[in-house]
Amino acid sequence: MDESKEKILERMKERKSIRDYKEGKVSEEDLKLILECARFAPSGENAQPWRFIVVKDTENKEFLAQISKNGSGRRFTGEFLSKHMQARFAGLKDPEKRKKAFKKLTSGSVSAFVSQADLILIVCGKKNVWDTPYDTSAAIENILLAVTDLNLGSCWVIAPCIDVRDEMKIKEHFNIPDDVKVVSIFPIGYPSRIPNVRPRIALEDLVYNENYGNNYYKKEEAE
Amino acid sequence: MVPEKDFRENLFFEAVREFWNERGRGARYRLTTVGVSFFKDKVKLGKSREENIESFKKYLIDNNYCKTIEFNDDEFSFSVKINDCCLMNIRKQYEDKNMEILSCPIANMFMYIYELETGMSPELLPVEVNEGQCKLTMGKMGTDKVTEVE
Repeated sequence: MDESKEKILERMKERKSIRDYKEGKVSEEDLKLILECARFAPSGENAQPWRFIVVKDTENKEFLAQISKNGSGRRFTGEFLSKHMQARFAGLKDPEKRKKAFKKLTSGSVSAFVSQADLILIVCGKKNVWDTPYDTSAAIENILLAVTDLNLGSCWVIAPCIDVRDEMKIKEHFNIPDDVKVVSIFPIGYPSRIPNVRPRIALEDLVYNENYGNNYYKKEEAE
Repeated sequence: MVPEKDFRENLFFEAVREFWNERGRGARYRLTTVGVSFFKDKVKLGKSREENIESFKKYLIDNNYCKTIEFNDDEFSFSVKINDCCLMNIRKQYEDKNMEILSCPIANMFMYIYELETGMSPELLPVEVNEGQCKLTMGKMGTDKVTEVE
């Protein structure tokens, strides 16, 4: 593959889920560019159902952090009580590492970090269109790639709105009308720690030839 | 004559199944308030959780939603065993289609009662169904203290 083509893939790999932020203001210029990128995402019938709330107020950010913490913690505590978490981490044999991972997940801290970032974007979608989940997801990916390109960091956090009970609390707090749903939230700021690329499923296990299950790539081709 | 009850039950199941087909496992988190507004209209809720749980249990039994209900509370979760629930036929459809039970309106109301007191939404764990009995277990809230008892 020539160098210019490889750059595309490298750019994609640079997008990471950032959960640690340092001090530093996101400039209005950068924020506007991010939002401009979002609004040029593909949209069914060009409905553009996405709406964005910029949250900078400390109390509002803390509110979102608390709901995120509760949402993640609740889900993972449920997984722990039902033993699904133990099964999922069966490969992690070191008891200390295992306990640390369980504590991190059940405490909800995996999602509570959002208030560390300079700002949080709430991505909403109008309900009265055909393709809101897809349109908003496309806008979100544009946001994440733009953030990366600006040497900022973000993370797609769904914990505070995946459960309708939490979503209702967010809607009430931010005066979001009934005909609009909360899709996800995105802390944006300067990363203090950039994680490694997470393992990805190999192409040979993802791509099929004409029929599902019939591998398109052989192992050596995919590599 | 239209077998109305069967029809309603089948519609409920199919609506949930289609939601599952669209949203996958995430569908369960969009069904956590189903039934709550109905029960809130029927059951007079007071201030204490214990009182509300008793009122709801009494309402369910008096109105033939089920025959008996056993409620247990512990540190991290609470559970409800329900015998001969009127929703059992719907649950059987989940089983027949090899689907996990995504939602239970009765569990949702118990979770709502709990949330009224604490402000924290509980989490419904997988529903266990055994010979006419449903066991609903709900994690009270997210807490890493739960890992201390493994």
